[in-house]
Amino acid sequence: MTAVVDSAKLARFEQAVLTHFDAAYNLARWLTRNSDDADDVVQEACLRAFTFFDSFQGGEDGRAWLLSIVRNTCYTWLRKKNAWESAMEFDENLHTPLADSVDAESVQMRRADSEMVKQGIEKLPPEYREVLILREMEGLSYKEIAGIIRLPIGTVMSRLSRARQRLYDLLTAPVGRESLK
Amino acid sequence: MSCQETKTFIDAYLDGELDLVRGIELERHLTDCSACAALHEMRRTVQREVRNGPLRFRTPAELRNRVRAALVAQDRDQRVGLACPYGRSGLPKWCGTGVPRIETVHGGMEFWIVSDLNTDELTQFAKLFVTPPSQ
Repeated sequence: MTAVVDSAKLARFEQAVLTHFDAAYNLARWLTRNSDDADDVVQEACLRAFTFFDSFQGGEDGRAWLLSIVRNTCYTWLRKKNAWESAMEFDENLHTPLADSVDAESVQMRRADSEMVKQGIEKLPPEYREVLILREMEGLSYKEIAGIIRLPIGTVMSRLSRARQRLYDLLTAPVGRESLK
Repeated sequence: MSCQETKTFIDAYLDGELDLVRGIELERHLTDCSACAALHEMRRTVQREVRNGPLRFRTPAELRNRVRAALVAQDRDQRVGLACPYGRSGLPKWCGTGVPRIETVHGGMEFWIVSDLNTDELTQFAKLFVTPPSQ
C-alpha cells in the first residue's frame, strides 16, 4: 500500500537535505519578514520535504530542492494569512524601478549601513526579494534560481536587474531614505 | 554593443552568467560609454552591499531541535501507521489534524471529514472506506 519507511530514510534525508537548513531558514525569514512565521514555514516545509523524499533523486541538488519547497510553503502560508502581495497583483511594469539609468555623480552612493540595506530589501516586492536572496546570499546560478521559482532564466535576469535598481533607488533617493526609516 | 543591450546584459555580466563573446563586447562598450560605466558601477555597488553585508539570518538552535523532533515523530508515525491504520489518537490516520464527525442528513447517516488531507490522501481514504452505491 505504502512504501516502507524506516529510520534509514531519515538518516538519508538529514544528509541530503537538512544540511541546507540554514539556507532554508534564511529564505523563509526574508520572505515572511517575521521570525515566528519563518519558524513555522521551515518546520512545515521540512515535514513536507520528508513526506515526499522518496521522489527526490539522488543526483539532485538537495539545497535547490529544499529551497523550492520552502518558497512554495511561504507562498501558501502567507496567502492564508493574507500577508503576501499576490503574485497576480505583481506587475513587472508597475514595479519597474523609478529610474532606468544613472548619472555618474549619483554613483557615489554612500556606504549604506547594513540595517538600511536590510530595510531596503524588505521593502522590495517578494518577487524581487527572492531572486536577490537566492543569488547574493545563496550564490545560486540563474539556472538554479529559474528551477526554484519555475520561470525562464530571462525572467530571473530581468528581475535581478530590477531588484538591484530598485534597491539602489531606495538607498540613495532622499525620499527613499526617509521612507526606509 | 549598444547602450540598450548593455542595460539588458549588465547584470548577467556581473553575475558571471554572460557568454565570453558578449562579455568582451560589453567590456569594450563600458570603456567607451560613461553612462553605462556608471550603471555598471552602481549595480556592482548594490551587489557588494547585499553580498557582503551581515544580512543572513541566524537559524535559532531551538528551531533546529524542534524540526528534528517533528521529523523523528513523523518517521515513527509513518512506520507505526503501516501496522495499524489508526493513529495514537484513535482516529484513522487519514483524518490528519481534522475532526471526523457523523451527521444525519435527509434521514440517513453521512460521515463527514473535516481535515487538511490532500487529493491523494482523500483518494486513498475513499478507496478504503467508501463503498460505491449498489446498482
